[in-house]
Amino acid sequence: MVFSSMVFLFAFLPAVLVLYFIAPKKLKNTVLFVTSLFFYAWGEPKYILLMLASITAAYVTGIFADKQKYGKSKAFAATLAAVIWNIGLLAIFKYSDFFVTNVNSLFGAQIKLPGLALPIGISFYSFQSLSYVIDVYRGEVKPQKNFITLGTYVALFPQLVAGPIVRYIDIEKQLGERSFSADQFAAGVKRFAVGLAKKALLANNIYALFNEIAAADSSQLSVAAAWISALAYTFQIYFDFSGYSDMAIGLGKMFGFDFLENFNYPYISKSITEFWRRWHMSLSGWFRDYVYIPLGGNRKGRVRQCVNIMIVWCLTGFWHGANWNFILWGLYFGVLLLIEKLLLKKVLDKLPAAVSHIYALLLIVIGWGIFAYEDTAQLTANFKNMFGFGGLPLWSAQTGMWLMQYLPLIAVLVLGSTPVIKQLGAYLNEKCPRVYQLALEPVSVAAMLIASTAYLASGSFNPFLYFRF
Amino acid sequence: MKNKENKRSKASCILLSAIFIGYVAAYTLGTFLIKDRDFSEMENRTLAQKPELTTEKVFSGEFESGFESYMSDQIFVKDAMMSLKTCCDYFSGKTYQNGVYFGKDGFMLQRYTQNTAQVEKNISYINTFADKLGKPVDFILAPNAIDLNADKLPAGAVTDDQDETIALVQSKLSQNVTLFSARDTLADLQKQGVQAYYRTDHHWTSSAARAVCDAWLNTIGYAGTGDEYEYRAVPDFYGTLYSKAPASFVKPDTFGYFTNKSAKYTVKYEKENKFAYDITDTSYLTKKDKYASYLGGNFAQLKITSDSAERGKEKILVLKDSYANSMVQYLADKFDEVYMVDLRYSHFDAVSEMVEKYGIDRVLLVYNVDFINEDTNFIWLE
Repeated sequence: MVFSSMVFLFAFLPAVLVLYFIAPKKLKNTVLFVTSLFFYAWGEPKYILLMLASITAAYVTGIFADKQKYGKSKAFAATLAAVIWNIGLLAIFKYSDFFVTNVNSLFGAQIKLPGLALPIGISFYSFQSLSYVIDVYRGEVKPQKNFITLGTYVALFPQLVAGPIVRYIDIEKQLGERSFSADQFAAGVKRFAVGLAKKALLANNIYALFNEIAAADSSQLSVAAAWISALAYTFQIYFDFSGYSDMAIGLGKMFGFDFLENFNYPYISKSITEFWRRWHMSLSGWFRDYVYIPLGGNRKGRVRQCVNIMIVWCLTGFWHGANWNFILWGLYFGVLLLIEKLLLKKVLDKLPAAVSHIYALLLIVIGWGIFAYEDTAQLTANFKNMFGFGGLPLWSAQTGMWLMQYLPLIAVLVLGSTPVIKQLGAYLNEKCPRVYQLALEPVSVAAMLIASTAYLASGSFNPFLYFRF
Repeated sequence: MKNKENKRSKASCILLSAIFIGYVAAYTLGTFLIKDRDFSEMENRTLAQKPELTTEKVFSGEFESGFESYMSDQIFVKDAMMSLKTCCDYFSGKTYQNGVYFGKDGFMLQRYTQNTAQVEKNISYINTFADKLGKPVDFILAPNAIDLNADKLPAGAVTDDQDETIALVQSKLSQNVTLFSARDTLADLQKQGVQAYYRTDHHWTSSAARAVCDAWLNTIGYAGTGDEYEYRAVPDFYGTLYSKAPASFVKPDTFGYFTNKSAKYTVKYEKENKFAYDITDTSYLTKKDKYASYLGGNFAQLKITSDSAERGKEKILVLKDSYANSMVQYLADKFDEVYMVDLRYSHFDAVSEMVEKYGIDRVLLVYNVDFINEDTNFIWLE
């Protein structure tokens, strides 16, 4: 189930809200756990077994990962088992087709593709379970003795499908005890409405432009159109993904959880290093804490640090999808980060802000060009078109039409990529809190909810890119 | 993350929560309590119904996807939601939606992209047919609104020129087919201030069909239509283009039709084996699809006769799209017998054999440019 569907908004969500708020305190986690399993089972009921197995694995290994109680070697064995289980799940369900395809083409073998359907959210919940067990092993958290509480953590539907990747340590207290606050619920409502609008009004609509260009006859294309298409993808992926995170954080708040932020206006970055501090923060944080630092981070010399960075970015890319283009995309950023770290940092700091913005954005857009196309031929054709080697004219009448039709949307997207709107809200709230809180804010929230529903109900484009992760 | 924005008054908390709960409750209750619709006139399609709940269907995922379609189709105030979406798109500068331009003066214009290969293919089928036939073949080709009303297009609109397609047809057409381009007649009509095309529908108006029919009749030596036809107007016509991009700001058309009360018609639906005794099926005038009041829509083969036609003249066979439906009564009043064949639905009876069988004297093709450009059924002419 996805949040931007009628089934979620007007069947599942109302049912969960009613059940959750009438349930006595003791049963609130059970309500969340059971409804989350239902949410997960919707559409692919058989994978509920996988989810339950995964929770059980995390539960058992988590208990034995307690060094103080079971000693170092037993605890280590338990942690290793958790690593093998979670990475193994990913290898089987996410990457087996990719491995087999490559083995086949490399050795001329003809092994049949397993063709397993990717269980929704597996990349997210495996990483969550793994972080929990490792944190227990490191002594940072106590093992969770209550199966339902741990199950609630792993399967919690707001962040199940597309993150953020919530660390157990961050919501440990809230899992045990949380009180309802009207303030938090209202903040959750606003956050959810913003997220839904980002997804339904902004991301889906700009993706329609991307698709229109992709489907257009080559006689209508141009170099400019190829750049517009790249820009459309750039906006789509950010508003889609961050919108989804906003919805997750908003829903979390409604149920009394405070998840950490996942995005911090990544497109205002002035360098790639900064971009990765602002983009999908829960994922980069995960790789930092569970891969980069364990590998030695920057503590074992320059060369080792560079190797570590490349390993982490290769894995980050691969995490995004079982295809070479994602690995390439990760390596691309790994190399850029190294170049910035070793050479460019001092230069970038001295450059005028506008120049470093353009530098970073250009590289980000090119990055999405690698990310967008799993098919190598399409990927290269797109770059040829963008850089004028595709035999296309610089401009076409159709390009002008695309630009005209979408210019107001693009303007909103540009504005929405910066903190301007948020700052304006804070400013108005300070200057005239009554008008802001009792008129402006509620009217905008209602408008966002209804307009989003109108778009979703009209059966317009509603793809969700992060589904394959 | 706690920030300043979280400091809100109690009233604000209650207000926001109430909005959200009210919103979810309204749509949930509205969707599940209001009676489900079977058919959407606006979208012109049947709507999904509640799926059957069985263990098997749940495990195959069929129930879930069925339930999702059911909810999207039956969602509370769906038509208003769709209209709201089109409005939001329009006011955010999208004057082009779902293949339709929102033009000036309330004109909705369907974008035209010439498909040269298909046009040439279709013409070659027509040529082969006409060359073998040995009877006069005429071809009324009607441009679409976007051609004659190109000045109504919004700024920056891109479209191909239908005049080029008409020229292409002319150049490829066999000498055995006489092309009658309706363009000039329609342009004259518009100059006189008569609406030639609906603003919200892809068809020409009844006045346009009649004027073109008159002009064509003259070219084959027939007198034009007389004044026995009475004009009737039906308000609130939202046509097919409106359905493609429904918006509340779109003003409806007035659907007009001519009717000859002094004539008695017999319409025989060959494949359906039924008869009708009027050209207009007035039951459609109260429905959304008012253009279908001509003959009740499109059918494979029709035989139409009128008692006011002079006997002993010619029998005519009309190969047609829906543009011809608003023209056929004038033909019925002029010719002994009119046979109408719609190749989209009539696939297995060779037209040349029909010509033989019914003793047809001449064949008339009535098509609009969009149709010639896109349709793939001309192969059935063989």
